[in-house]
Amino acid sequence: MTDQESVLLPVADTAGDDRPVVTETGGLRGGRCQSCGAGSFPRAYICPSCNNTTIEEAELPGEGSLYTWTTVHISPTFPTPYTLGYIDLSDGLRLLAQVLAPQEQLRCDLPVRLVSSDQSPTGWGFVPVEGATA
Amino acid sequence: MIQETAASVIGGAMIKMGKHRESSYSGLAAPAALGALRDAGITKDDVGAVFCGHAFGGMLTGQRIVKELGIGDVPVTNVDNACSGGATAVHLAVRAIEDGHCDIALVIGVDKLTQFGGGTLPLVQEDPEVQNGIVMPAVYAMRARRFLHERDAKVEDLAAVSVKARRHGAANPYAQFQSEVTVEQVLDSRPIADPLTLMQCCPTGDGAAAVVLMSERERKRRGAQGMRAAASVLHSGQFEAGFRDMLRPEISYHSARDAYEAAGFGPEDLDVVELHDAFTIAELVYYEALGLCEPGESVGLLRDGRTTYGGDVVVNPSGGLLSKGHPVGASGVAQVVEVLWHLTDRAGARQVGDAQRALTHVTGGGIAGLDHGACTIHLFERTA
Repeated sequence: MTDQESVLLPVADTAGDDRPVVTETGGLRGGRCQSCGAGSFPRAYICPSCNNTTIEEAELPGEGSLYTWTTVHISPTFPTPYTLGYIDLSDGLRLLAQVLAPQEQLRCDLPVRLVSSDQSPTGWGFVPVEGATA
Repeated sequence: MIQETAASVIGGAMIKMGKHRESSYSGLAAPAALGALRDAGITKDDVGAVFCGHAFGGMLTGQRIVKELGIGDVPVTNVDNACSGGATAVHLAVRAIEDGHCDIALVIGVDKLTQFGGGTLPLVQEDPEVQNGIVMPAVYAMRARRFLHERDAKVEDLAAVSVKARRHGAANPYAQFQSEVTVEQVLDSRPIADPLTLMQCCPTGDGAAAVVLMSERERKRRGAQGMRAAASVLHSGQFEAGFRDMLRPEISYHSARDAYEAAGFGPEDLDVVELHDAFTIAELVYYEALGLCEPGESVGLLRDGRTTYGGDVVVNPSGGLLSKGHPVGASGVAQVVEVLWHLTDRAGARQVGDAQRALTHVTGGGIAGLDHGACTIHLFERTA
């Protein structure tokens, strides 16, 4: 290895990615470690499980269950109120996301699915699966 | 047999917590630092090292404070660990004394939240959860929601934490809020992040506290009394990409386990606890994490009055963060000052009777994938 090759460079992790979080097939645009298979969202650059650095973009499942949620009434980030929840995806990953449904429709452990939506300040979020009950 | 390098807290002081817009960081903290020196019976020339915890003070906060007292030519270390920064500074001072680097250390905790003009604590925009709209009340609100789902608990049980905190704080002249409230008032206050209402959230405020720690050999030489640090534990959170039980915050469980093991005594031996009640739900979850009751029993512990005067252990006699206030970097040090006053019979109207042993607990920060960024637990025992 030459000196030039050994020079470490930073990860350009804040470089803009204008592509939507929701893929054309309704999945979540994330990453998967090519060594151990661990999923990540947002896509990781170093795998926290095995420290491999080969992590390819991957489509993660767009279905999961709502572990918990809250409607936020004070925030410097977005106009209030808005609702946030922790969603446990069907492949085991957990993520924080906007929840796009009236409070009275929400329950812990409710099945939810990923959608693109102009109603969400992030442009995407989760809605209850129709007819589902927790 | 206590080791010659064992660390004890010998003196402490804090300023009244509140909105002190007319004060700088040194204006807030210098009176506390001077008060701690005087309380310990030492002068500025006795200080061998300074540790300063803060989250929002900017560069060289510790030096800006101690230069006002004429302290220099000694190592001054500035520490950020979010809300656990002050307690982390105490931890570093304990380690510095135990490792023989100095015999006397000054610890300062300070923050000025009014500089932000109100609202929620500013978080780091690089975090993906922050970009998705997380705020600290929402973290705890989601924990509360899950708690209400899994436990035989009602919103009134959450509110009861604030009622107790404000009752305790009413007897504390250092508290930001010194008035009692009812369950109805707590639940009728404006919503912040459902199910948490305003009176279930710690207030925005400014404050500072300071303590002096001494090695056992120095303490005996001076004949000084105070409280020995029987355990000083600092943990960071462990990243978890998937499921996390929000009712079982691993960082506090693990820190408590290690602290009791180091001290050689357990939760049943405690007389006073100052724990991280930034939001009501936190106190209920932490009763279990700190071993004050079995998992699932926290609501009953509070309802039965076992965590207030006349109960098993007095939790947050200061009024806690909910009543005393929570200038983040100051809080971990202020907790230590509070328990020092109890363990040296100087807590006035809120004195816990015959207090021999105390625990302080403070976590720090919310970042994606961690239950919290930091957790510091100290166990103290009255010096013989």
